[in-house]
Amino acid sequence: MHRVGGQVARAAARATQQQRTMAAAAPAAPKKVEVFIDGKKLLCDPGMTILQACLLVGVEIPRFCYHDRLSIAGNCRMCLVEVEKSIKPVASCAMPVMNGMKVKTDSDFVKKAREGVMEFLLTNHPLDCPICDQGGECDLQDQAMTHGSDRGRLQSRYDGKRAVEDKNIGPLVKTVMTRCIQCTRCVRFANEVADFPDFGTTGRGSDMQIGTYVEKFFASELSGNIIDICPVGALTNKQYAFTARPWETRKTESVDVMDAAGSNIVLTHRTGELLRVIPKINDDINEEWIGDQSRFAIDALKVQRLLTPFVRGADGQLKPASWEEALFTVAAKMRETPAELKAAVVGGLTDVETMVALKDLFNRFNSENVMTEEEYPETSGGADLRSNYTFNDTISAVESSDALLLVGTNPRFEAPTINARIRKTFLYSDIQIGVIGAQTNLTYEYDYLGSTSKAIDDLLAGKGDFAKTLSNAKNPMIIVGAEALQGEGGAAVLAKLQQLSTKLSKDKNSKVLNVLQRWAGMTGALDIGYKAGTASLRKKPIKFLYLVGADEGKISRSNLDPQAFVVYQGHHGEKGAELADVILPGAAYTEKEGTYVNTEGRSQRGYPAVSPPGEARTDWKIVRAVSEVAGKTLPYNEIKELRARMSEIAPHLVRYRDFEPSSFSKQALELAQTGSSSEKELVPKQRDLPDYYQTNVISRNSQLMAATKRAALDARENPYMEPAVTQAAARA
Amino acid sequence: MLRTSILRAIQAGKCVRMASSGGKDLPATRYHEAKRVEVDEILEKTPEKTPVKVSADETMDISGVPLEHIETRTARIFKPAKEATQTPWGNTLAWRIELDNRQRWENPLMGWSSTGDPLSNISMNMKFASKEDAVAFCEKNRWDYDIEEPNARQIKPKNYGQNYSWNKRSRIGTK
Repeated sequence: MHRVGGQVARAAARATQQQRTMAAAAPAAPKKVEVFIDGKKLLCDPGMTILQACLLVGVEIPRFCYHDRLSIAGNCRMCLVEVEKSIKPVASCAMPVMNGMKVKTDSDFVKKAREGVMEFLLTNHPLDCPICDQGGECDLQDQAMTHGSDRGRLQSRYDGKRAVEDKNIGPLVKTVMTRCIQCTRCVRFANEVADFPDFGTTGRGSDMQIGTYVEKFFASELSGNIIDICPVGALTNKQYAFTARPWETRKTESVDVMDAAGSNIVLTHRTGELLRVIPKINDDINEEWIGDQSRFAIDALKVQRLLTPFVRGADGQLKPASWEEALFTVAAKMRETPAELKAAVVGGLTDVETMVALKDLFNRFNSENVMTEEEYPETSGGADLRSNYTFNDTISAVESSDALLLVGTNPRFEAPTINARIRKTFLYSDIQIGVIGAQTNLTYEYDYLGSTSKAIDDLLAGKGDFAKTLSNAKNPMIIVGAEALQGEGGAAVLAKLQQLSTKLSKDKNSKVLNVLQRWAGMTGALDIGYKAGTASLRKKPIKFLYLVGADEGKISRSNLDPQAFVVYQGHHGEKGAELADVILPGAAYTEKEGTYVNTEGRSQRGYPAVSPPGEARTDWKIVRAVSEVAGKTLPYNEIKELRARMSEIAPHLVRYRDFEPSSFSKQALELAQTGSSSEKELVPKQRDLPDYYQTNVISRNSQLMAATKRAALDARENPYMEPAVTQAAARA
Repeated sequence: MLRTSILRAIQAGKCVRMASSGGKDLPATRYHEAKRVEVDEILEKTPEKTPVKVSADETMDISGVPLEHIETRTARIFKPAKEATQTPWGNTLAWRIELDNRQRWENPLMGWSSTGDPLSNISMNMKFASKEDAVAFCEKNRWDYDIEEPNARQIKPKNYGQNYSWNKRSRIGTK
């Protein structure tokens, strides 16, 4: 502990050193405050709480209500410490540090105070740890062991034990309210992060209850996070109920693919079975939260999977086949089709490894017809310049921006974690937000500027109040949804936004223009040179089409040659598989090692937690196998070799976790073609909470997501009716 | 009889060998016939140890570890992330090694989980004080490795007064 404390202290010292150097540049830096923690001297920023100062020297204060990312409540009293010259113990989470303060965190006085608090908490807490899902990862359990007494004075024969009725807050979160210790973390989360102000407390003292008063669905795309922040077993995961104990499980740190933010996740699995997903802290991307789709859609990975290869027989029916048969059929067709009549389309969940292998394979057959299913403008520089399609200023820069313009996007449902950051910035700074698109609840207030691209013209012309706000802003940011740039006029919107961002940019390092992609694989695909959109496929009747996870139904048989041969490779057979003559079963994101480039252009690596079911195989290996059978063997046998190839194409793909800034925004401006001044509708497709739950092939196959969507629809239609007990809820 | 005598001899604290006084090769059967021989007389002199320097590399050459668990494996050196479900940060302090995850299957005999990977548990049992130690261990075992730097914990000053600031959006009403 001491050694570790020393490390933290050193890190803190380094930080203070940095701050000091910064202080030399910036005038009037706040003077450091001298505090003694358990006799150790510490210089810390004024305005810090004692608890935070203790963290700087590596002393963890026990606590329940205090949470790093929520406001301070100070109601659990577990963080009591002794401060010299103070008669009473002090709640360290709420008390700011003062110069010369001498804090004792381990004295007998403190121990007695903690023991007393713990006794009160346990008086009103049931002794049901053996049947509680939080058992083994419960803060109360752990802290009762370390700081509690070995006996309590409650005489339940006379006093009775407190009991509270459970609340139904929807199909995702299970509540056992008797276990609640009223830390109000969930209430603060609901109000501060999720913007679900219906969640609150009623009653006082031992009658206090957490809930919505009138029972209702917890209408938020981030609702699953209250499971994590609950320090006891009052709020637990309904999907994971009674499944496993934390000490039995294995954990694999990985990357989420449900949105383009690339949230960091931890996959929990046991006996080769995926059990749950929890967020992994990454202050650059998702802080500590993940969206409900990322957390709960995993039940779909066990159903509706493609387990064996299929080949369409003479009777037109798809029949299970061996890998050998399927690969030889594909390879034969691939060899006999001329290069210009071949094409490959990748879906939005594809990893970079697979895309690189597929592109190499097609290039070996002299075909450059590799494209993404998702569209992106080709003119105005399009995907040729990286600054045109990435979130150039990084997600965390939202926090320091003072004016934000959202164009044709609903970040709340396209990237819930990014939206949580915008809301946080909204709460704790004076950021001004403008929206061009749909007038929906984004969890923060904004100036609505219109629903068409005419609003951008107005901003360019400097018309309106928000144009002034933007031009006066020190760190303005524009976030444009990829959806707004699609179709006719999309390139013009991009061009206009480039002009606007150049006009607003005050600092060489800030690009102002940020593109929020919708798919986890999109930025990676554009990085390695895939053509965006399937438009070029329609110009020539294609005879051999290779689909990798392309399930959005952008291509149909009518776009192809009547005799076209379609190969589908993916994990869930959906629209793409319906077209297919041969189906090759692939792996989902939890089953393979894969690189994903998030919307910022930050390359991240996912790891396999479980192995692909049945005959399914890792995707890039399938492509590699096809290449060998087709007689143009790709020169990599192992993922290391493939990654070496990736670094040849674009070195940032293997510089994991680093943000790779893009250049050429000036050239992008030169290429910008505003074109015709026709108006373009910029209303995003996802406007309301029910639109959130099923957006990709995984979540569309998830029963739980379907149930939640139903609950969200019910809640929207009958906001004052109690939520129905859904099937998934009944199962739990 | 013989057994007890030997036992007694051992109990006496001296390791002895019963040499027969009668036939040359016959063992002594009676205690009084036995001739006391000191241990040192029987044991050869231990040759002095000559330390031979064996590099870690050579150790792995003769260790007998199957090749599939040496060159082909990739280790990830990392500090585990804080459990999102719990408050404390204690588990995030030590460095760990995790090897590439291999297939598991349900064993048909009992339904338990089986794996062909003897190294699948090392991340649970091995902690390293520093990154360099972990790297050294990987090099010794001839594993490829990737180092993943942890996300530094950010401590941003917060204060209780924010809840009551009259002109900020962080103000909290009654709840």
